[in-house]
Amino acid sequence: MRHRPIPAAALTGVAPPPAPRARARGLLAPRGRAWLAAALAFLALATLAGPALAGFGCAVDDTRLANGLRVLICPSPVSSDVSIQVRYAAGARDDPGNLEGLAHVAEHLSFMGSRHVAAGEHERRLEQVGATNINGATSMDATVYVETVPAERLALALWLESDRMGYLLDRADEAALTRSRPAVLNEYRERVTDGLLGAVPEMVLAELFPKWHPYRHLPIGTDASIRRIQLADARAFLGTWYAPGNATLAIAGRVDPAEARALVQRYFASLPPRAPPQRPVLPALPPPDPAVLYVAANVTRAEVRVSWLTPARDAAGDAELEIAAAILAERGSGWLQRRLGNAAGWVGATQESRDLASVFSIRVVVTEGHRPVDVMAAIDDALAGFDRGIAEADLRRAQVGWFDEKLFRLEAIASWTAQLAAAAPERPSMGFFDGDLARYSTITPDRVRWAVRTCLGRAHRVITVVVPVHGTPNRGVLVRRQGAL
Amino acid sequence: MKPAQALLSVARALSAAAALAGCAEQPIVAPLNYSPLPATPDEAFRAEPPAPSPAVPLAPVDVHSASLANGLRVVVLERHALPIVSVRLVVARGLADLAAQERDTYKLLGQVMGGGTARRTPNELETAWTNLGAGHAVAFGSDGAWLTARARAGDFDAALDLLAEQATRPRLLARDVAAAQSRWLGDDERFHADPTVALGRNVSSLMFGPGHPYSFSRPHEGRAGAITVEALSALHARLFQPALATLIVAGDVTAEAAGASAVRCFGGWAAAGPPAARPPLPAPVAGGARVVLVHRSDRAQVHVQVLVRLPALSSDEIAAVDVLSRALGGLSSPLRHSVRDESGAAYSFGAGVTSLRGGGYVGVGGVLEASLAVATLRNILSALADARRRGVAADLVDGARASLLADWRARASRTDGLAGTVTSAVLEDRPIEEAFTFPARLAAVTPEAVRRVAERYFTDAAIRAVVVGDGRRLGDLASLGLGPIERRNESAELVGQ
Repeated sequence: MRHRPIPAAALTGVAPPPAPRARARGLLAPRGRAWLAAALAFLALATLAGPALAGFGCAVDDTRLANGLRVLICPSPVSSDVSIQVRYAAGARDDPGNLEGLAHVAEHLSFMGSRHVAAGEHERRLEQVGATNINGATSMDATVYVETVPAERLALALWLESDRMGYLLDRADEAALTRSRPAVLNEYRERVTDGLLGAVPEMVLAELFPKWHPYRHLPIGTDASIRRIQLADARAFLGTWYAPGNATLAIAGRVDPAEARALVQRYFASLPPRAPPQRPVLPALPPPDPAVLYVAANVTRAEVRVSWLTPARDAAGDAELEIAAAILAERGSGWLQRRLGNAAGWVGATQESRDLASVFSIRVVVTEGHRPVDVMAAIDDALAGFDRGIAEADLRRAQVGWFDEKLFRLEAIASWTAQLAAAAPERPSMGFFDGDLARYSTITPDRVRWAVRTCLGRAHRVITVVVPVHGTPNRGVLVRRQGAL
Repeated sequence: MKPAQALLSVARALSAAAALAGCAEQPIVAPLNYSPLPATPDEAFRAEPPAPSPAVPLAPVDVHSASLANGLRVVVLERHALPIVSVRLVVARGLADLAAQERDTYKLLGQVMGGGTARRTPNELETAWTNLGAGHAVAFGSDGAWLTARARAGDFDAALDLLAEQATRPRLLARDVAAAQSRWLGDDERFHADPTVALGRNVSSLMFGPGHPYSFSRPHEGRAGAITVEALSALHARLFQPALATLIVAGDVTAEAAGASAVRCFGGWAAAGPPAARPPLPAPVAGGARVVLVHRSDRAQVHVQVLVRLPALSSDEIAAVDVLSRALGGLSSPLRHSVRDESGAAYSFGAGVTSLRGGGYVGVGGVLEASLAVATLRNILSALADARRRGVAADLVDGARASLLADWRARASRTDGLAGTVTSAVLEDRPIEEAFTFPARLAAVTPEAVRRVAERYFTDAAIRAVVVGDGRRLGDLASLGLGPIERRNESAELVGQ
């Protein structure tokens, strides 16, 4: 550490020279049109938001190995470490019937070792060399494995991940499954059985999605389905989906692209190609029947939750609804907070974007002395406000808040690889990474109004009213279901 | 085609037909391949992990500091990787510096300062912050209070203006104070059902004893309602003085620019009276049972913490305790492996150190399957005894040091991490430089140093435990040999033995 005094001239009220901005990496995309589009998008956002938003971007080395593995390498100035993420395009949506939670069990099993890596050795080796953020996670659409390592340990991380990708089945045996299952069951108890309102998400999914839809269950499955999973099922899942052609490897941080490419070539290029299966085409998703669920739980405050099925990730309306969520519940000054005032202890709105369909949710914790029915009326009034008009100031505030939240997240190098890897396989990186900051620059009030009118109506929403009842399970128990209000 | 394959094909065809009709009862997914796959050919170089490339040295952190004429200390940490700044105004006076009868006033002041200023209503203030897209927060803790903001570098001056306004001219109108009182009482009630909150409240109470400023105390409606605007104003004037405050700026701004902005925003900030004194910290209240049970019926799991209270330690001892804690609860920890993987007792399990100005504590525990809780607690006690008697293996010490250094490096690469590091030093009344010499102190920790702190502080007599869960499913807690079990509620209030 170097400790220096602040120059005295700065403390005497003399105007300082203009502060240097972050060294603009510039829009370094080699592809001219993409560069121009990104630059225009930034200009549009800057114009909309008033004072200039600092442009930001980094080059991305985007290649694909012969075996199908997509490789994204992005040198980044924010960290002296390197973040690695391997993303398999397989998740809970691929769980067969009665085996809900299989993708998640497979994820746990993958930490039990591979041909050259003993059980537990993956985490141990990484922790001992100073890695952080060592984890795996299963969502509806994907399973990801992450670690952030000192720059000099990139080869170690790639050795470990390539062993997992190519040689996992060598150690995926009964002993490994026996060791994995209790942790999964404990996780289920923590999140669902004992979790505060842990049973509610699955109740809502069951209303939004028909039985044939892959999104109807939670990635964690159920206690019963977790226990039903056999070794053959887990091995079949890994063998079907954990293949280079179904994976993306993202590397970001203090990395030299040429050196990283060479390491990737060494560790991953020889893994045999194996094409993932074609997923069946799903029927059109019908809008859900309106429903009101009354849930009793051992909580101290009533809650009102409202959920809708909304357009899939990147489809028309997805980005607009993300902005709508920010307008409704942006920190303390959203429309919902203003309408609810002291009636709400907590307010939130989210557009949870997924590959097949998204879910838009509003959640309000009701303060004592106020009624859920009044909260619901305020929610309806706030939604009707979109038809009455969205002030440019509201839109700008939501966009700026969205932009800044994205920007702040970029301080963590792991968020870079998360965003890079999550980009749809068909969406080229354009050789450029800006954290997707420019994506929302062209959204207009009319587009937001259209999205709300089209997607957040009364006819197809699911309302959940949580009623505090002492002595009932924390997770919540459905006591009554009725149709529309 | 074999019969089994034929049946499978028919089943798939029927499923597809049902799917098209929209009436399938099972999710429509791609079938899994149950056929054995050929083994991936091996390659000799995969047998051993690769060697590291040359290490990248840690970039030194540049810390600039100065004091304004009014006594406000300004600390600037330049970091220009992203166009972001994190700002904190830290006042080094907290609960621990106040008489017992003033502590509720302090907590309510924290609520009030979260909303509105002398010239902006709460809504107007919130709108101003969200117009900047900035994150902001107010926290009032045991050793001090701090206001936080994170904004784009281009909005640094605007964010600092708002922060200064909030800190120096809070909105102290009767109506807003009443709303803050209601919010404070409501928040306490709202979190009542959360077992992690119950655990935290009982941990602090067990570690420091009733009435201690570090212990949890529940807001009392009568007392909260009796706090006047005048009392809040007087306390604010005593605590929020430039001589007691540090302005921390980290991010994409030069020291010169930050200094000039500090002068502009805070140069006119004058003390309204004598600053709040810093009396000696009261000693923790001794006595009471060593095991606390918060009974929560019908829960499959229990939340547990095995605890050891620590006195104020030297910086070297702090580093050794950090290493010991990581060796006990980190990913490579044999204890964690035993609890999670061998006995299947937990998903969440770990260890951590809580540092306060007057000491702190180490906690080891997690969320355990209720029927395995007593056995796991015994396992934890055994691990602590081993650490005391035999120390910790050298390779575990090495791994713990590497892991802690990695955490430190991750914090130091973020503006809020840098600001938080300085904030902790200020609150714990340590030199700021000390916070940034942590890597060197960590490197100096030896297995012998770890054994010494375990022997000195992790004695049998020092060990305590808090358990939140269904007491009927737990088994015999008394068999742990820690003495009688005290039953308390979610607010750490005694409910009988």
